[in-house]
Amino acid sequence: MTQTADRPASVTPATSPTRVIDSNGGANRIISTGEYRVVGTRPVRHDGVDKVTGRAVYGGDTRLAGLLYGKVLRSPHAHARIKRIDVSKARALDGVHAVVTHEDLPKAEDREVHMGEGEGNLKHMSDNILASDTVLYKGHAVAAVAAANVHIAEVACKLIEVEYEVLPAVTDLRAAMKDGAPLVHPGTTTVSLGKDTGKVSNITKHFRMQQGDPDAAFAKADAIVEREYVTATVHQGYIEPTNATAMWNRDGLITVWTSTQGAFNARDSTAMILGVPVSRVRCVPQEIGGGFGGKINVYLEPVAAILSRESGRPVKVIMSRAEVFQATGPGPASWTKVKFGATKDGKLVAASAEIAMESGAYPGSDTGAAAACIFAAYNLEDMRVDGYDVLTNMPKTAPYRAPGAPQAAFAAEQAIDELAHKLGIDVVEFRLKNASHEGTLQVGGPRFKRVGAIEVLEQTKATAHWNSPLGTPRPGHKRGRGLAIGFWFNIGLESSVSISVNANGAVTLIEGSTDIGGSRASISMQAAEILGIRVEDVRPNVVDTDSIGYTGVTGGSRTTFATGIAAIEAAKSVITQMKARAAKVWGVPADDVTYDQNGTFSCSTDAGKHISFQDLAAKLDATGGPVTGVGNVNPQGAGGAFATNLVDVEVDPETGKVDIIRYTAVQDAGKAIHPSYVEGQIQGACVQGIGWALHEEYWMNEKGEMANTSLLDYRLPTTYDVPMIETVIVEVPNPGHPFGVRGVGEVPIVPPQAAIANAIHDALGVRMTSLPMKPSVILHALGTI
Amino acid sequence: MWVDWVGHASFLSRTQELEARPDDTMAIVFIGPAMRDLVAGSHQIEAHGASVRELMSDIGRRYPELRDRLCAGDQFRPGLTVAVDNVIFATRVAMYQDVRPDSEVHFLAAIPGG
Repeated sequence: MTQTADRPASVTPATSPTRVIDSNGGANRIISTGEYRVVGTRPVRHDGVDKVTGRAVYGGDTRLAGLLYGKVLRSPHAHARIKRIDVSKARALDGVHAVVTHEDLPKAEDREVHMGEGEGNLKHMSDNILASDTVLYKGHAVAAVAAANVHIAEVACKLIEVEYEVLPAVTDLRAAMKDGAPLVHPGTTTVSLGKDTGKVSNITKHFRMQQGDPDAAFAKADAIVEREYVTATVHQGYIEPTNATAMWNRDGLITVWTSTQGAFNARDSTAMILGVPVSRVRCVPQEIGGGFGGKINVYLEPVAAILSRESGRPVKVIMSRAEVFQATGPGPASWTKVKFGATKDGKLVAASAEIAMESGAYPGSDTGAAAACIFAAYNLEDMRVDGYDVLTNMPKTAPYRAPGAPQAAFAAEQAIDELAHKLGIDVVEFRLKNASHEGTLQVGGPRFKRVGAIEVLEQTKATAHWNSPLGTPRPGHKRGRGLAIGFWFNIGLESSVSISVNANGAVTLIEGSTDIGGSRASISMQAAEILGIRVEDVRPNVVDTDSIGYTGVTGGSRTTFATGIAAIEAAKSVITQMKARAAKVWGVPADDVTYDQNGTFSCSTDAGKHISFQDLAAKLDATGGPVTGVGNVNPQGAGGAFATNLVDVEVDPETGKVDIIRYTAVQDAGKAIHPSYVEGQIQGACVQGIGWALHEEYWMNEKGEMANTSLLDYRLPTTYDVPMIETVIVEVPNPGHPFGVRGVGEVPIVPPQAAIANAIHDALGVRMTSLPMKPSVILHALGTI
Repeated sequence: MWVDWVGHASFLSRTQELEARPDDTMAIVFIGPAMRDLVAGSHQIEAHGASVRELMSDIGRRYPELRDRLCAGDQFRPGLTVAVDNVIFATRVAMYQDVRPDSEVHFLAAIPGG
């Protein structure tokens, strides 16, 4: 395990004072505190040509000899008991090679198992793959077919006879929490504050986080704001549909090709559900067309595997868009009641919140993370959060970029905005006066280490956007400006990297982190910085689970942080070995060999002896053979990150339509390894946040069916909805990483919803308490309808 | 001698206790609202151990119900993890972390990610 708090001499920045770097005509800006030879530059990504020419192989592109095509039969009901399944007609259809149901999976134990970044119940995982006796949501998988082509598979699915006993369903979070609501799992009782209450309910868990005495502290407040907020179920909206291909060999070895955020997690989950050792499963990660947390859990891999086992042929299954919406894990709906109290001079003195989130068909929602984040931006000693985990007849919810934090921020940041207005204090100054810093208490108990809340707020205040007038709206329209701040923890977890030196001095870098947002480049750049070579001389390869050490998921904003540290360790090992080779060439002790960042080995006892990395690489065969460095790490020093959004909107009070007219995102990246990909993460997350704020929701009908299962009706934002998103990268180095890296992929989706809501309030004078803030909701808030 | 840190009777002062056990480590363990009934209402307790594993063993001897609430076998229960001196550790590595005599330990919900 490696946890490097001190900056190694080899990665000391060339300059350390803060410097402002502008790009893209000044639209993007970096407040840089450390500059390096490679880190912080903007090279062309290694996988760029394949991606833009269509050569990159995604999950759906998998082609194998003898490939069959699978299709899954899904429940038409939101809640029903399966009384009988008859697959005989489907099996008899010409071209059908296999039909499977839950009976073809091993009986799963009712126990918790480790999964990706968290844990899951094995029986629930298995039942979610193929329902055993009860379907718990519309779209729940019931059976699957492998056939010569997908059309035959679809026909065969229609020939499967399933007799259901339809049961009452509940898909609304707050309805599910009420006494007398239809029960998703009839035997489930509420565990409250660690104790089983014995009360049968869809509320599976109630927990509390508390510091100090918030009730007493509220009594000291001169002003208090308390409101309730709700948000709808939303999907990550990745463009590439969920897919998997599997081959179950006659020797018992299983190979899975899939689009996943974590090949090892997919391997482990598949093995657990199939009841086979992990060593019998190899997962080959394909290129991934978006994940955002939604491609951590497995859905199709075990199904494709048992179809392959039954047919003796490889089987590929790809979901339709409707299946993606109805049968993979969305981000949860939420209800939050939040209360803040402050003195008249603008000092926050107390906060409390209740947060409920849907977990969908099986227990386990994002409530814990939401609770841990809701007050993170503020320096409070007295605060309390009660959290509730709630079952509904919806797909089991899954992580979606900073899971739970955007819903929490939507509530907290509006309440803070309202409190600032109530006190007559500028919204930036009010946040700055109360901003978290090193030593600030978190509601979960620990105190913050070095964080950048103050820095991002200061830089927000310094932006041209903040210091510009709103401008004149179109006739009949109104403009407003909103601000919000958000926090996300980020995580570490296991990563493995190996680096091999080629005879020409270029290196091959092997990693297990699937590349979602340019991590091949960000990992290679950290290796190149240490190795003293050009990043173009590093060739990164993302490989399968038999070809590299265990590597956790590309999630939790961990990859550039943790896999980057693995690459640094591997590169340092290479340098150590290369020094020994130089010593051998010169006939001196290895301790006499030094290496500089320009790629030159020197002899400290003979000023005339120098050799470049490339020239020494050519001598490896003669001096002992190949050099390979390995880095295996599980770093724990991931730095939490803050981000702000500043948004101008123009609203048509007659139609309720909201246009985003200017958008600035400010974020603490710790150190931006490749600024373009940090900017890309920020801009992408803001776009998703705009969609979440204004358009996106699972529209459920009275039967518990999602009514908007296409991208025509589930309204993702398009280029028409989004202005240029200006970015400001603030670098407050994370002491837990040699270059200061913090995670960057999740926190930018935390503030958009609240910032847009605050902008709408600024424009219209009404508080928006529910998401999405679609035209009808705006008009309702205005009292027009 | 192990004592509650807040408001509970002990016949040794903290200084006396440290002097009595110079080689021992005594981290401060913070107890969340849902578990305080298992430690007689205390907000924080002390426990011995040079690692989280040893610390949990000590807690198990003195407050078996608290340990059972937190751990299953030699691992933390799913969804739980630990922060030692304000560094939050992943669930699977939490037991192996070092604890210093003046360390502060919190039990937390494990943080997921997308």
